[in-house]
Amino acid sequence: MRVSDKVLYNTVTSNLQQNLEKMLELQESGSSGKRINRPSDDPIGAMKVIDYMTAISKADQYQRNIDNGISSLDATESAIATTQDILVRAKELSISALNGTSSASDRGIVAKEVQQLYEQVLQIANTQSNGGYIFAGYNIGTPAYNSSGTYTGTAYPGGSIAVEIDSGSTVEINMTGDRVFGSSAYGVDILGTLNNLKTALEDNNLQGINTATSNLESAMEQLNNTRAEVGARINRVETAKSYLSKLKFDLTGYKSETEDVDIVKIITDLAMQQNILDVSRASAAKVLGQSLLDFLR
Amino acid sequence: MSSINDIFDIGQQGIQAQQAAMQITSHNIANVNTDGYSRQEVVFEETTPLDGNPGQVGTGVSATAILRKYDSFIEGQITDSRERYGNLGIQMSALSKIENLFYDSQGTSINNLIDAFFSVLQDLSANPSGKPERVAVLSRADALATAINNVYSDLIQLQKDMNNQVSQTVADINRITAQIADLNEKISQAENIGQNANDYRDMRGRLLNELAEKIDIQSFEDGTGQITVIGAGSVLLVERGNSWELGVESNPDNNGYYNIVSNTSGSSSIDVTDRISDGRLKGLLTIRDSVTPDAIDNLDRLAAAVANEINQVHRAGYGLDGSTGTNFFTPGFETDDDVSAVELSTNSGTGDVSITIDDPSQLTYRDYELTFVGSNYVLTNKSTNTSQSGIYSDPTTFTFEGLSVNITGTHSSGDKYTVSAHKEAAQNMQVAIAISDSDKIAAATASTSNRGDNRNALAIAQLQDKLAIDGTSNFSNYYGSVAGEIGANSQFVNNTYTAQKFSLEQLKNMRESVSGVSLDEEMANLIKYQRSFEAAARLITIGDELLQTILNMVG
Repeated sequence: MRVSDKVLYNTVTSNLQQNLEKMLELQESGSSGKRINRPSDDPIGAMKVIDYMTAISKADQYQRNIDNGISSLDATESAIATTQDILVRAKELSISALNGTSSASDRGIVAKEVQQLYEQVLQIANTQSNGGYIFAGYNIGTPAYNSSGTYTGTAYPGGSIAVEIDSGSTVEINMTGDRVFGSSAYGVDILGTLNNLKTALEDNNLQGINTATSNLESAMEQLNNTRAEVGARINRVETAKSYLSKLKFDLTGYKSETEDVDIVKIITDLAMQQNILDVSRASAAKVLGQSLLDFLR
Repeated sequence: MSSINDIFDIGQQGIQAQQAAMQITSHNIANVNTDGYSRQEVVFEETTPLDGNPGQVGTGVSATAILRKYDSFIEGQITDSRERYGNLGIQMSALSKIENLFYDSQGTSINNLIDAFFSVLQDLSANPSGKPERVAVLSRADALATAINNVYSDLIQLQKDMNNQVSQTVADINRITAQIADLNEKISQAENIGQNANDYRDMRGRLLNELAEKIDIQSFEDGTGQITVIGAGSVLLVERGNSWELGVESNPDNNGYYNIVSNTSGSSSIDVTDRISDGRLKGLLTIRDSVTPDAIDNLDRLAAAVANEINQVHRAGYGLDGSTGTNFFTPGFETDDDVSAVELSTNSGTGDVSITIDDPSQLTYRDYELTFVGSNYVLTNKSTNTSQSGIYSDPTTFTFEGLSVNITGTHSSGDKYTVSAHKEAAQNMQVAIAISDSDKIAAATASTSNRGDNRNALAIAQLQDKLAIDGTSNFSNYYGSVAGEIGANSQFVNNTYTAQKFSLEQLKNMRESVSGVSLDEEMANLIKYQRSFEAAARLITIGDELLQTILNMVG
């Protein structure tokens, strides 16, 4: 092949250019830390990265939903637990009042304590969290029970608030008041029972105290059941939470594997590319610097 | 008979011939860096010998011609290669702009904004009466809509840039073809009187290459050394000393973008846009009429799907203030909303076509074409080719894939309408609820006592997983496949461009190997000619000495 000056220059400059381009690519990958800086770098990879980003964002969100859910369920559970303690005390009082040695005035004193217990349960049933009444179903702006102990929240089976804890899978994070404390329409009306107990004590009505006592037992049964259900839900969201944190960890790993550069490889490649560039520069200096003119006279 | 005087003649011819050779050598040296220059070489020939004793005696040298060193086969290949190079170069730079609009490795692309929007919807579902959650939903939705609007307008801007470049390129083509015609004349004039038109030919070759980068051409040389250039397969651009201009005409059926027309045949101009098959012009047309519209369509589909799906669920719910039937996004995609039906500029019928939404949940976000064939109408989904047809009688009403079609008046056979419900959704997408009206966000399914009711918020949030587009993709999948598709196209063009660039460089090197100047070679030649010049001069000195000797004999 005949070598003209243009052939020499073109070859040298295009080789230098190619080597510089490779340097720039490596430099870009190295400084962004990403192997995929635009879809054309790896179209399939870019699609995967987009999917991973969405999946990670969803996993984050589900975790937030679960945290919200757990705090709400915890509040529900502790409200139920406190009510259980109160009912245990109420039952003790009613049984002691049924004792033949109790006088009418003794029962009058017990009635005062039962009145206190009623107030406590009413307060618990109207527990507020995050600015809303947690036992009111959807009607969180209004106390679940009014001052006369009537349920004003959303009636079961309505009123359940569900959040998503995984794609398409939801968990209810509240318990409507009527399921826990009962209402005139549903379950054992705990406030009504306490109120009846108080009245029976005041009236020294043994028959009434007896009925109230057995109702208290049903009420405790009701609380046990709802507490077990809340406990099961807490279990479920906690399992989901640990699954999600593992999932997020895995997804972040996959995303990184897909789009991040192998730093060690980049550094090695950069060093190698630098060598190649040095060689092509050195050879350019040799080739381009020579001319017949140097040897003529 | 030879005489001493012949030595003078031969010496003089030698001096002249070597001098001519040195002039060409210096021309070569001076043009070592000129693009498209073909090295020239002097052809020496012995002059006619004279009969004599002991035989024919030579009479010296003459420089008979100046040759231009070039290989027409390689030149032709370079022309072809430049056509692809020009085409791919434009596509590559435009595609890299487009793919950057759709992807951002730092996580701020439309997809991330969709994720963030659904994320705050989930937060809303956890606390449906929370003011901060409600405001966050609106501001995230606004960020999403704005990002979609921005990408849309960037795509439109790119399309307009391409269109402007089309008319600039056509102007360039016209300038070049005029110059080629001019050079054609100069070459034929020069060669007609036996001169070499080497430098004019180089100039013409250079212009031809420049032209090839802009449009696909074929050229051939006639007996007079003039070339005929045909562009776009069949459009005569240059013949002898004449050139024909290409023109641009605004096309009403393509957003007023330019069509390319030829005026070769005289008064009426012919649309040659579709005949252009390569060169920069083809690249511009591909981006303007195919790549960008596809990207815009995909974005419109996404915007329409997001707006329509969310609006449907949102309208069914209730706000804190008891409001219902509220759209979350505009466009609303409600039943009876108008759907764009654009008629072709060539339609001759006088009737009306009015299309509205029949059932938002059945919309496909696809383009449709309503055509009148004979006395029938046909409405076809251009993507799936499903269609509905019937005999047209005024008025005709029917529903098809969520659209309600109402045709009245007279329509001619061949009339066409392009129908699309999602068109320009990306341009017009906006949040329909003001930040101050955040109570109108329909998080609840119950109309009253609903501060804790999150059922509708949850239903909206769960749309993130709904296969809302074509029944196969959710928003994120769809976006990913759009970005992937653009990326794959860009990668393909990049690779082809790189290969083309490499092969063009190889071809140029092959050309330079034949036609390029080598300074070493020229220096060696220069010395050769210089020595010959010196020797020829010496001949005259010697002839002079010989004559002197004879004169001395006489004296």
